[in-house]
Amino acid sequence: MNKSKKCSISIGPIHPALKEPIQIEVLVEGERVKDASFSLGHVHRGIEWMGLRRNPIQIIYLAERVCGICNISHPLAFCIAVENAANIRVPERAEYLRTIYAELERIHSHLLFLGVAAHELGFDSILHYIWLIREKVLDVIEYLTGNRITKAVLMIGGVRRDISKKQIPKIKEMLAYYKKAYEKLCEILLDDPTIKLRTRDIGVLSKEEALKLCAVGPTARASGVKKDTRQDFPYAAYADLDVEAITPDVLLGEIRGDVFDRIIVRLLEIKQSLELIEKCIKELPEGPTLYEPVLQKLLVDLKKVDNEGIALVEAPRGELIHYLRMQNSETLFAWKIRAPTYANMHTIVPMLKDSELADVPIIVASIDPCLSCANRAVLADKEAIIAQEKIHELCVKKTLKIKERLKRWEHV
Amino acid sequence: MQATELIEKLKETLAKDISDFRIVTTEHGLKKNRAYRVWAEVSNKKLKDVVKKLFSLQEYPHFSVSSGVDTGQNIEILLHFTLNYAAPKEQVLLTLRVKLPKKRPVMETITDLIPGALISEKEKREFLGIEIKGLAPGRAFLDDSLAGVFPWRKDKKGANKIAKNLHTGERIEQK
Repeated sequence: MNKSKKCSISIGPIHPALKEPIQIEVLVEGERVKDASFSLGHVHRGIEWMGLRRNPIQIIYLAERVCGICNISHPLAFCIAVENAANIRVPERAEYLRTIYAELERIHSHLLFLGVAAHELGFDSILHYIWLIREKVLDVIEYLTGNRITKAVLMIGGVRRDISKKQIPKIKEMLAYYKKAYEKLCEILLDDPTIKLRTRDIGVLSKEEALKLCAVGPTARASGVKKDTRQDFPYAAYADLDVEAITPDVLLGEIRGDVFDRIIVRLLEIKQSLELIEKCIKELPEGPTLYEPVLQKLLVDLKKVDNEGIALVEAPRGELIHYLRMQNSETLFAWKIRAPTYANMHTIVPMLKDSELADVPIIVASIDPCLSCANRAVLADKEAIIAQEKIHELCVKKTLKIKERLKRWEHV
Repeated sequence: MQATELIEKLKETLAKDISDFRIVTTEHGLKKNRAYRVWAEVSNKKLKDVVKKLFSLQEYPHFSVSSGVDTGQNIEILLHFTLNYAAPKEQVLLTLRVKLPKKRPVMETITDLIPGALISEKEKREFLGIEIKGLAPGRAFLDDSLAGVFPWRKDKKGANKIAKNLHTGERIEQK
């Protein structure tokens, strides 16, 4: 191939190297990426628009469905924003419980990322090993909340499910399990020469770029920006726990802002989450778990609110914001969600520049993009919807056909 | 720097440019740690100057996102910044409110000062139908076929129908 000839390659929106739909266009010269751009908007569902037609309690469950992974972070940010607007003080026990649930979520999200990263590097045995380890935290989440994924534990003014003393040993058992597993994970991810070869000095994001592009979460911290909402902006029980933003120099004494550093940060944050859960269990105060247990009364009170509220939460991928406005009505007047991937998307452009084409998947995966979070917009009544309807119609027909066939088999 | 100190400086620096300045504090945890949210209104003309002045308080003010609300006569754009980050428990969440008249909803871009505001500004343009001078062309979220429909508008330009049971083509009007 003529090296001097530049050509553009489109990756996505649906591509084997991507786990969610996003379109990335790279301009390559030979195997070297010279420039990159991206476009979002391939998984619009109209979450905010739908939210404006529901009451605040109904929205909690809608907010959970913004993201399949951060379904504590989104409802938590929403609840804090409502509490901020309505001037509701959450009981201390509920704040500690919220912290435990949020940290359990961080552990499973970071383990999910580490598995995906291994997969993007071609190490599927590590992917399976890490996701096997991840099952433990999902089991504990199910044990505590009744569900592995959409937990439905949060409520405006507190939490819906308490953690009893009887349940604590199971959490402690999980902590002990992960302390052992953590050593093994470090050995696999940090000492393997091939992983280092594929990730060291690959997809570099300088501190200055991270700051200019307003990066958040592990992506920013891996470049040396000590920004962590849990550390900087007190919410739930975090300020009691004295959380420190983790940067890669803690482990290796240097910051390079590459893919390897982003793996290190998430690995260290798993350990940090285990310590935070341990502290929370130890210091869990007694008391109520809800500001107002009668939901009808809570709804009546919320209907009288004429104010706006805003909340910041450190989701596994970084700073998450929910802004809302209430105007003496059953429904909200405005609701805006800004998920961390939305902020981090800009950073993939400098990361991709001057990289090898083969490294594009792992570089994109290294910001742990969650595109369901980034895309929440509405679709409108125009031509574009027709195609979707037709596709859906075919899907429904096919499902009905399969159902019929299954029925026939049942009789046999 | 402490959050209260930064808020004082903020007040001093922006005194001539802002109105409706209010501080909302909330308490969290057993130690009752305080979180500071600051709200202020700024005129469209002065917005860019105000954003420039934030750089005197912090080398890189962190622009989190901007929210947009159709209030009937106006379109409100709320720019959310986090200042004093990396200072444990002392971050300040600043929201600057700009009111754009619906008849001429035009504002200037801040992407020349903060490149990270690009997606957010494009989103406001696509969803609220405002014009942002100096903003790079191109759409970030919505498909070109949806040009002319602004989903967050509460008037005729908004998305007033929602598809229900997609396979039947049924659509219901929404208030």
